[in-house]
Amino acid sequence: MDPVLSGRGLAKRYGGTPALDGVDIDIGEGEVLAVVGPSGSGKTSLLHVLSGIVPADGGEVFLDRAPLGGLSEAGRGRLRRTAFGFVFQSGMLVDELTAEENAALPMLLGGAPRGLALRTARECLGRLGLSGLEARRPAALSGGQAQRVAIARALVHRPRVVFADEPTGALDTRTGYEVMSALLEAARDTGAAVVVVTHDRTIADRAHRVVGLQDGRSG
Amino acid sequence: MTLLRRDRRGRISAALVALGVAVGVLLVLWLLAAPTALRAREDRAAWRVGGEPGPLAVSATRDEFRGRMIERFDVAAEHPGEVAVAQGIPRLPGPGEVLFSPALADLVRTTPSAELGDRFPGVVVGMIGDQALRFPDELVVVVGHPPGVVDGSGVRDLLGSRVPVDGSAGMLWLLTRIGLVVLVVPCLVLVASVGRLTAARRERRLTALRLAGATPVQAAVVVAVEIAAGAVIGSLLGGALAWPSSGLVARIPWGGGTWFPGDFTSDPLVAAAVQVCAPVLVVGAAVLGHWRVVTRPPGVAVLRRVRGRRLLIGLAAFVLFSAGVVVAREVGGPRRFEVVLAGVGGVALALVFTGPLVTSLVGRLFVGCWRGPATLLAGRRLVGDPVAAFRGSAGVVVAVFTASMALTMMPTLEGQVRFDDGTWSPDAIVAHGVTDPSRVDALRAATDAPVLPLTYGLLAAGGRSQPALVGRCEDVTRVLTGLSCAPGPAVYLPQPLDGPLRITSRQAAARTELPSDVEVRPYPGGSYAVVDPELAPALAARPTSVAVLTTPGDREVLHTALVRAFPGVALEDGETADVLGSTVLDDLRRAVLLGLAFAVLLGGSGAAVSAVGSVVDRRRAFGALLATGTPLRLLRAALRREVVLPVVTATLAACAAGTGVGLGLLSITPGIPHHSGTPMTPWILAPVAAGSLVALVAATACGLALRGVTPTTDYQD
Repeated sequence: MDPVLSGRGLAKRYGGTPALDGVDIDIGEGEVLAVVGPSGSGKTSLLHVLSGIVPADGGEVFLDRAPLGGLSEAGRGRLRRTAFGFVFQSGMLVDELTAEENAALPMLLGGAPRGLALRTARECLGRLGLSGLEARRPAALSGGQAQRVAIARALVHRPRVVFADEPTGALDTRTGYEVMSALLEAARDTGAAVVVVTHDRTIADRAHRVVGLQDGRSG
Repeated sequence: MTLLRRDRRGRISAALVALGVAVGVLLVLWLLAAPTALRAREDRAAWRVGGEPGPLAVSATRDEFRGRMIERFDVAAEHPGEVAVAQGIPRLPGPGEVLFSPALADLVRTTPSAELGDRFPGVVVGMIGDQALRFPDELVVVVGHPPGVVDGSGVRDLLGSRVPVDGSAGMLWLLTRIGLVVLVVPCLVLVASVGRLTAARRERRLTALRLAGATPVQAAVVVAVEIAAGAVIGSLLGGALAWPSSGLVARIPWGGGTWFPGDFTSDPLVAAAVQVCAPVLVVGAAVLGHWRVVTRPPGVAVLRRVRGRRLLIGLAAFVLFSAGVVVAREVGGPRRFEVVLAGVGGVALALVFTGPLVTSLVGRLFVGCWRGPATLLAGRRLVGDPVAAFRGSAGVVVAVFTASMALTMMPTLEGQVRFDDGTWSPDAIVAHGVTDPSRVDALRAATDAPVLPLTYGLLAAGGRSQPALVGRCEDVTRVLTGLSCAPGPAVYLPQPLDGPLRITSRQAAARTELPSDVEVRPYPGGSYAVVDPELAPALAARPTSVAVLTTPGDREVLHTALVRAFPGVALEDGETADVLGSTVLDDLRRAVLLGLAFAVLLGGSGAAVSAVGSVVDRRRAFGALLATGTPLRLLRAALRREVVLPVVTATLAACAAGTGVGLGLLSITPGIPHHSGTPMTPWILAPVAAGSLVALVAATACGLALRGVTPTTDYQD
């Protein structure tokens, strides 16, 4: 199976400290990959480099075999809007927007018409069990509900890869399990690959493959 | 207090609070010192106006030299005895003695005497000190004469009124107080804005503290202590800067000159009160602003709504202002303006209170019709927290209110300023109130220029009258503009009069009935009727005015000759009138410009501080949006809309309020006739455009703050 996203010899330094030191990684189409490791092992740095949030200091990232190293900041931003989706630890929804508007945001940013974006967002929220909560603001949602909205936001524009950074870190075990299930199910429906950064072994066990990091190197 | 923030952002927030409070305190102290400075000036000049009856004949006149005003006092001791003089006047100058202010002494020393010095005949026996001058470079002279020479209007001393000057009746006083009121409000807004800086971050911390078991009082104390540190430092800084900076303020000209640095020193008690009140206000604003977070059960999210009853505050303010206008019109006394000034402040505050309502309505409009994410983000922010969204705009709105008020009032106030009305030829200088005809001959002997004696009187017929001059048309036409002569004695009338003509001169103590068959010719556009001397020989024999024709080369020399020939007599001179008018007009315009500059500075600063605060508050959300690929320009566009669009709407209301208040103030401004119309032009909307521009510039501060938001760290914050 050809990888949808690859990294070869990825290196990243912050100040004088190496965060990544020659990491090679492949993510297949529809694959769920868990990146595990202790704090400071470089998990989040790997996610940032793979998703183009920051450029690599060394090595190369490929999306569908195409290298991303030559992309400008604007180009990487466009890529993140269109090809990638993101789920952060505490949802990171926009406080002022309703659930459906938060979910529709990537499509709106991509230039989709208002009606289409909101309709798609509502369908997505419905599939995640949030029917009837579309008009609520993040402050009026529970932690699990807010994280499901974040999942809807990550998948509404049918990205190739979803990056999840400790998606259940702020939730209790049961809610975390439910949220992870919702993410995996929604990703399967859209065919998106999932890269989940976690230090929770139970989350990692649900992935197709687990990559361990230690001091910026893959194990 | 281990709970206090000691991180970098906490320090930046405290520094901004200190800076905002320092600016606010400094401006308030300057503004409070301005009326005091005006009073100090007038107290020093109290000797120039009549006070107690005394032994002196004093004639006070205003003269002009090369565009600068000279205040001249011709004095003569009419009765023997000691004459009391004010502080700063070394002694009463005797006949043939002169006292100069230092600036005038310098000017006389460096100017040919025929042009200036000869106006003040005598020996210089002393200098007028600072205690008797309005401002450092003022040109003042006291000329002593023998008894009987000065045509003074009354006898008095050179002490003036012993009662402190009550400046509360003049237009200047009213304008100063209005400035104080309308600038203090933006000061309060700025100070309150810095107190609420990074409010959302603080609210999250307070919620965490409450969840950890802190009582509402403990949470409120945390807020108070966090803010108090920066506020107290800022207040002390503002107070400390007030004294050294007063020298800068003293350089701003007013009434023809700058100020003595000591004039702008605030009363220590007032300064202390301001320095205590400012931090209390900031801490109070911060605690009140977080009150809901502090008091509500921890973890309960509350949506902030603004209620329509805020409109009632606006209505109440307008009622208060209208009542003040009525009181000021109907009630006399120095305190008659106090209610209306409270009303002006009330209207400015009401705009601040009703602004969030307008913001919320604008937000609803956006949310209803958005097409792109920038408008959606801006609209939801405006609806979600209209108080926070409007906070930055409040100062700008008050500035627009002030500017609209000023623009409404300015044309009428400018119309009241007197310039040369073009009655007299630009080459003519006229001395009015001549009582001794022999001095006309003395003037003729002193110059080769044409000297025209004229007699002032009132020409009456059929119960109507108009001012008239007795003089030969061929002579008068050289000094009066627009007069066309024809051969033969005649009366030239600007306005037709019916019935037998009669001319009376109180100064000449003469009255003449003109012949019934006198030839009457029109003098369109004239200010005086002109009567041929053959028709009124009794009046012609007692001239009360003298006109001289000058050329650019001999103007100052002839001016000097006139002053010397007629000491204490007022001269009518187009240039003098223009200098007086220009001084008043320049003061008015400078005051308005300075007021607006301060208002814009305060409003802009408040908007920028709030805009930056709103970005700092939402760093995590913006960081996450950037991480997901949201273009920075889109966030900038959303922030611009957030800041600018409520301002545009609120400033339209502020413009209307400013126009209304301006018209109300004009109706009670001393010296403005009630029937005078107020010209309204489209320029009245200029403050709306300017306010929007200021808001746009302030919104760029958001862009700068956004640059500091990074997708890698801020979403994990």
